[in-house]
Amino acid sequence: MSKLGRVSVAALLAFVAAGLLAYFGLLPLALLVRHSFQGAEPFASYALVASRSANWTALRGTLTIATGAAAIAFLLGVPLGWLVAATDLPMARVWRSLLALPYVIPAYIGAVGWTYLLSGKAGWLDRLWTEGLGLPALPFSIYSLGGIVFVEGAFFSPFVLMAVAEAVERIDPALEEAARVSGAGPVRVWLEVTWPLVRRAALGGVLMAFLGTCASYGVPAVLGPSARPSVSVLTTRIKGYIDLHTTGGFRQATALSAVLLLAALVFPLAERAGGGDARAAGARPSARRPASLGRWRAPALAMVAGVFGVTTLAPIMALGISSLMGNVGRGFRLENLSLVHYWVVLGRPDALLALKNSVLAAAAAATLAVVIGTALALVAARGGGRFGAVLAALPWLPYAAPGTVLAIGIILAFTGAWGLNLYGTLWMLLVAYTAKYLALACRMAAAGIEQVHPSMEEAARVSGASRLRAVGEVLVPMIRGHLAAAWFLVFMPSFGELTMSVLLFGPDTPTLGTTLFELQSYEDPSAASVLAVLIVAVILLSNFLVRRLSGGRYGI
Amino acid sequence: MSSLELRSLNRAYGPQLVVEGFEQRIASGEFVSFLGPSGCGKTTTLRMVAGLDEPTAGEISIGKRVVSAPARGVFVPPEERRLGMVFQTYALWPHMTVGENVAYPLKLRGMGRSERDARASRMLELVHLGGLDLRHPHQLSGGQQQRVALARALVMEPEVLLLDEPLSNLDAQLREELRFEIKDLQRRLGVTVVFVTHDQSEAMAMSDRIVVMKQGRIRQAGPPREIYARPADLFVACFLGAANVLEGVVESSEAGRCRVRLQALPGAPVLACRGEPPAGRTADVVLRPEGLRPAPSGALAGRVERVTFLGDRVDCRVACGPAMLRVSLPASGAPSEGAAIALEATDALAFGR
Ligand SMILES: Nc1ncnc2c1ncn2[C@@H]1O[C@H](COP(=O)(O)OP(=O)(O)OP(=O)(O)O)[C@@H](O)[C@H]1O
Ligand SMILES: [Mg+2]
Repeated sequence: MSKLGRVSVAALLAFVAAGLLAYFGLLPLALLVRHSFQGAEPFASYALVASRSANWTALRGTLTIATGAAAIAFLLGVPLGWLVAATDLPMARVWRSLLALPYVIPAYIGAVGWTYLLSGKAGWLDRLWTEGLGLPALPFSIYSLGGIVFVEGAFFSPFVLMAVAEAVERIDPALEEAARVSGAGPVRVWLEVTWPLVRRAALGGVLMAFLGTCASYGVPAVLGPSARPSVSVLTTRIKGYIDLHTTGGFRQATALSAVLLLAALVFPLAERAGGGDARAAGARPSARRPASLGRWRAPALAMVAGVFGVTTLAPIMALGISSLMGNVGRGFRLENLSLVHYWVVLGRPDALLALKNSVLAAAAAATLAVVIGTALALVAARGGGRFGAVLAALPWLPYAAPGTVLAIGIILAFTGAWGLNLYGTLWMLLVAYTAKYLALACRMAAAGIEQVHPSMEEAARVSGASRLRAVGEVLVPMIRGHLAAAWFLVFMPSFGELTMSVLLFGPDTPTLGTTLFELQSYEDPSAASVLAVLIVAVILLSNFLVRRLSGGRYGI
Repeated sequence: MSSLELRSLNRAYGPQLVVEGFEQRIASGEFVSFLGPSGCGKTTTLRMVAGLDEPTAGEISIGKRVVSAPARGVFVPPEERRLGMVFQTYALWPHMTVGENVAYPLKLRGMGRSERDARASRMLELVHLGGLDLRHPHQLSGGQQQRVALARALVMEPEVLLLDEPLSNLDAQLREELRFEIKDLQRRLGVTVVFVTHDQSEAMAMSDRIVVMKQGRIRQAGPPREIYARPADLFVACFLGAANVLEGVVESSEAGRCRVRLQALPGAPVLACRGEPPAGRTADVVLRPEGLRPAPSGALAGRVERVTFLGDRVDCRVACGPAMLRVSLPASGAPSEGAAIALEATDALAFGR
């Protein structure tokens, strides 16, 4: 066989994968930036955007909320992360998983849950307060700036919690013991040895929480418009511009998006600090002896349970109860328990269509991401040289880009101008989910490949297997656990995705996220809660499978 | 069975040549070892033969078939070279049973299931692992895994068998045992073997010929006895077997023999050596530990510093002025520590600087 033939076969895989990545993941972002500079003069859109005070309000809103949420994530994540990883807290492993749960559940679902509890006057907690206890109305509602900050902070706190827990586990216990032997008390050891060693990871987690909140659309979209005064952020503002359906509106949306895209530049910093995306950061069982909490054990347990109850359990329970309440007006009674909303939802063609679309798009995206991600990881790991390393780093760009921004780039790229017109089709969502979450699959595949010595494939080659066959019959079976986990890691966030879907869905392609959003804001909160319960259930099941498939090393 | 020919083989990584001008013909059925220190390019050369790496210049033929010739754009991929190869790490596939591992090369050649299973079983019996077909690799000991790797490499009756330090992960006893087994299998199957090692005793025990390498170049190639007795240079002399190296000045030199004066030693003794370094120049004299023996008239006078008991022999350190000589003597009648001793040198070798 000629050298040329061999090289092209070997390069084909890399070439196709790199091409798909460039076309579907990178082109949209490039087009977005370019488009923001088009118009009468290069900075016309920016000037227009800057001249509107509403945009400055939105920017202020984004920064305020992100700062507040990052602070909450820090205050919850650091102590809790340490408690679950380093102390003799009862059932620390279980608490660790429970407290990290918001990591896999979309934050907007938490926001929807809270709307049943604290809506100003009609929420269940409000009524318990006024009717049950006869007190004057509560002075706060979830529909407020504070409410948004609280929900975002609660749902991004796992970033800090997991980063701290993993950093604590990596500390050699001898370091702390040496300080104790040197005469430092436990508090002093914590402040002068433990904290300096976890600080980097904790701050990385805080930065992730900040960036995540900046990019978040669902929570401010659910809670912001009804707040008094109403709260607006960059992502909702961008959606507003898109909804104008005018060329000028679109151009201003791209200018605002380009501003938001700046956040992606900070992302590698947060990632490197070890805050990381702990979803794939393997957590080993640690060899350290848990620190004894002594008489603080009970209060610590109460605090952990309390935080879990308030941040996670309450909104999820609210959704569950709401979905099971036959008649909302009749309140909490056993005879009011009913599956009627489930039957109603199952009978609604729009809900069924949404379910079908979400399952299809998420499953297809997961499959595609695993295939492309494995190919990229393979090129990077097996002799791609510097080119391979760059190739494996590129999927992080669309991952770091806020979903709103990526979605607008995708609109620019795939509505006909660049070879494909996918507008209003499920393909649009498939492209978005794959581009966004490819990095997760790629990293998971890379972790698997790293564990396989190249001689495993070489032995197959010498035995008579072609390159593709060696990959297919030796490498892939050896990393199938990783690949299955990678599949679910993409499926999970895609299944309940909202941010990109609201910008990309068409009349025939509603998803669970978009349908839930519409039902809850305009029509039928009970049906919305049924969909939310469905999303949570599927995500929890997927997470369980990831844990099983990876032997407990990945997943929550 | 096939011969193997490597012609002017080069391999560069960037500006660095890790294999340079490698030229060697290996006859059909021959057992040849590549021997050399770590990093000298043994693995690289072997991988080029396997097609897992490409030469930057030169040619490789297996039998009559040219498999690598970059100048002519020829490259036969590894799967079409019909070789057997055993990796240092064994590289047994954990997701297949032992039987499936061994049968895989046959499966790739389209052999039916029952036939290949039977052949794999027979092969496993040949390496003394009969009946372990259904086990998984991780359920075997290191030595057993090594045998499976061997069976897998031999199952399709390759023309050439390549072994990359196959014994280095095993303990000393198992290593000895497997040396014999590999050699025995090779004789029975008549396969051409290229064996990479940095263990000189392994190479000497098993090979028909040894190729000694240093920094990507062949320093000497030949049968073990010949290389041991007539090393081409100081490096080869020192790499094969223990050696005392002393500096001297060549007094006279002719017809492959010379006389070298060891000025640094007490009495500046003159030794008769093999080798023909130019007279009047500095030379290195190599004395094998077993080439030194006590004799009343011995030219090398010294004192026994330390005696190490090794069973049937003892290993003595003898201080001769500034030099410390290693001497191997029969255990019976060994000198005691602190005794004065005179040594006679036989089979001394001299290499010009
Ligand atoms: N992919 C590579 N890139 C750059 N240099 C390499 C590469 N592979 C090998 N080398 C260099 O080539 C030289 C020869 O390596 P090789 O693996 O052939 O040595 P070896 O003789 O097998 O050594 P050992 O006994 O340690 O296995 C070494 O100096 C090594 O650093
Ligand atoms: Mg080697």
